[in-house]
Amino acid sequence: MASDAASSAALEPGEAGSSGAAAPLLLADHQPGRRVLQPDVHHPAPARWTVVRTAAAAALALLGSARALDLSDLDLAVRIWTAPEASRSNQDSPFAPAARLAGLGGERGRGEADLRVRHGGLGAEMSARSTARRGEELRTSGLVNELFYEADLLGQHFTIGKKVASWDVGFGLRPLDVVQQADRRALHPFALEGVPLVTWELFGESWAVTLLYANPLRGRAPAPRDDESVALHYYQRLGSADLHAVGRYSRRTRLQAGASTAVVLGDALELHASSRYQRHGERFAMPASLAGGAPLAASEPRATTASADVLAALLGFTLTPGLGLSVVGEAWLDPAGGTAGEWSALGALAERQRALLGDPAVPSAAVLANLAWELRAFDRPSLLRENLFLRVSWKKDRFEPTADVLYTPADGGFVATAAVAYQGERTRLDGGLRLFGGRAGSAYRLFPESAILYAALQVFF
Amino acid sequence: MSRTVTLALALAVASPASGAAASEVHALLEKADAYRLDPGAARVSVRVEVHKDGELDKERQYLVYWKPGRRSLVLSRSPVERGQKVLMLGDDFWIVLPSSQRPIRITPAQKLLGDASTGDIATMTWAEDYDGAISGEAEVEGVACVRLDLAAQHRGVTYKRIELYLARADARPVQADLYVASEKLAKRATFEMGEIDGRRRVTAMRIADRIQRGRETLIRYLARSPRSLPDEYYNPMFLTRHEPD
Repeated sequence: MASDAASSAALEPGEAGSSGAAAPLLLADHQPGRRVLQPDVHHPAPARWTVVRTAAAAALALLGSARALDLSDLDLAVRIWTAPEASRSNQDSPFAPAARLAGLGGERGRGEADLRVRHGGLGAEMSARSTARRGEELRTSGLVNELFYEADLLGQHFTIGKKVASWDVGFGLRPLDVVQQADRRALHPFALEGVPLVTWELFGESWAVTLLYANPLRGRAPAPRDDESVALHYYQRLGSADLHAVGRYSRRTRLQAGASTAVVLGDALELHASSRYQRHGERFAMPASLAGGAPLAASEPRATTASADVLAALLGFTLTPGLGLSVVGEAWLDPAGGTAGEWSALGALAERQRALLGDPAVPSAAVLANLAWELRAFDRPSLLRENLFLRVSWKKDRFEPTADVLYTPADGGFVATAAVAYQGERTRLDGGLRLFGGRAGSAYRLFPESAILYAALQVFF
Repeated sequence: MSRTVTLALALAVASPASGAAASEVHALLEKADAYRLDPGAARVSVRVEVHKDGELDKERQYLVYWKPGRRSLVLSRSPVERGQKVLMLGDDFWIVLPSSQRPIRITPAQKLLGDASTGDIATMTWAEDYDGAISGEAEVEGVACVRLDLAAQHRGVTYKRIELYLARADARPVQADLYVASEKLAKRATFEMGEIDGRRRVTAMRIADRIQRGRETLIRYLARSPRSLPDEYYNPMFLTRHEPD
């Protein structure tokens, strides 16, 4: 059925209706805007209640307008999910002592209730989220992921509000998602949060043009996803191929340009490719050494560094030979990833710092804080620039076992996942095991967790 | 209509080498199609029941928009799949997931997945996709039928070959043996008839899996109405932001 095609065709973490179980790397407790370093930093209560109130007001406004107009037109969907996890600590990792401080290790869980509402041109998606760790207080928050109005006028289509904007064709990396990037690597990501935008769109029989103005009047914001930007997307269908071209301008990255394609060849093979170039970019700066050769920093090292002539690219295929079997293979180059040398140097620095633990002359809190700061290096879409990914799934009735592996050839690291999903009438249950490993000194081997056992229950209304 | 159809079928079967002219076969298929769908664009509400060893295993609801020119759009209406859309334009297929701004290309084989494939749900006509010859006569479940051997005329159709049995009396579909590319008999479909708006129509298609025995899928056509979506809805990018009523 359609869902079978969906599960085989799309590895869509963050998009409702899918498990996201194919995502190769977990960064525990990852939340948009929240860094691994800051597990105990709570958002001020007033801000949290503001978003809750906004969500409630939006829901009431939508429901109110639906009642005033015609309730039968209301399209409403609810999804509730919970995902408990238990991890095994990697004591060989020099970062292991700081894992807890960075929100890693132990038993934890996350959950979310999503409400999607459409009424005419009005649309909204709201979510209530919670994160829990054994021995810690439950954290909850509310968020309006999307709230927008779409209007059609004289054959033109306009959107204003907060909405998700993504255009690319790949799974592991999406270079053309220039307005906002989904977290492609988390096991059970929260629903994607849209960006404030205004769009104008035009559709032909086999083409589409979108002009988008995101984060109006924000200029250069602290986080790239909040940057003010203008983007143009062009889509063209050419027989069995889809072509996409994207251009974007923001103060941070200046001009970005990219193109992608997805082609179906024969009955069972789909190929896709995507690339993006930008003259200016930013990437996480690995704190391989500290000023003056001191092993510890007194404050957080600078997190990003400028880079030039940045190219992101992905090449992949989907093979569906029949009997419910599906194979996805991808290779990608992510300029935000580190090099094997950078990871090796970071590992060596962390080893030197870990050796200071127990030294009465050095406060252990300072050592742990430094290690936790460095753990931020794991909080990015791809740990290495070069990545190879293979996923095999088999759909059999209500069950779908999957196995996938992400391999980083530059340092010989890998993440392997085996999982099984069960889909009921209103529920979906996922369970699996993810292992991190590879050559000594590889990024995934440095990760302070060696295995994660997880489950996820989704209920749909 | 039945006398004309009977005469046409008799002439076709009696003709040399059992070969009816392609146009006659096409005309017969159009008549058979009319029991499932009126000519022109339509909206069809569908319920799919999957049975395993006689027990109801799962149930799904779909809304199907169909338009001449091999264009159809399948909207999932069941809670677990709500918001999913599958677009079929000739031999090209996309899936759009809820909360997603991107249509995903899927292969023809992917729309074959499951007990009732998206192709089974969305394809309600044969005349546009198949051609062939009348190859004989047979009695199927007590109904005198003519047998049509049909071959797919397009790459992306769900089944590469069909042996279709139409009632001699009125060309209503009685049974269809559905073969995949490997020439394996994948499914056998039978058709339930009923009276709708004073006309005899197919009310359900029962599909027995011939590879995995004990599985049966019942596709019930709950409501049909003439409805033509604007052409924009058959643009995959448009679907990411619009959903028809």
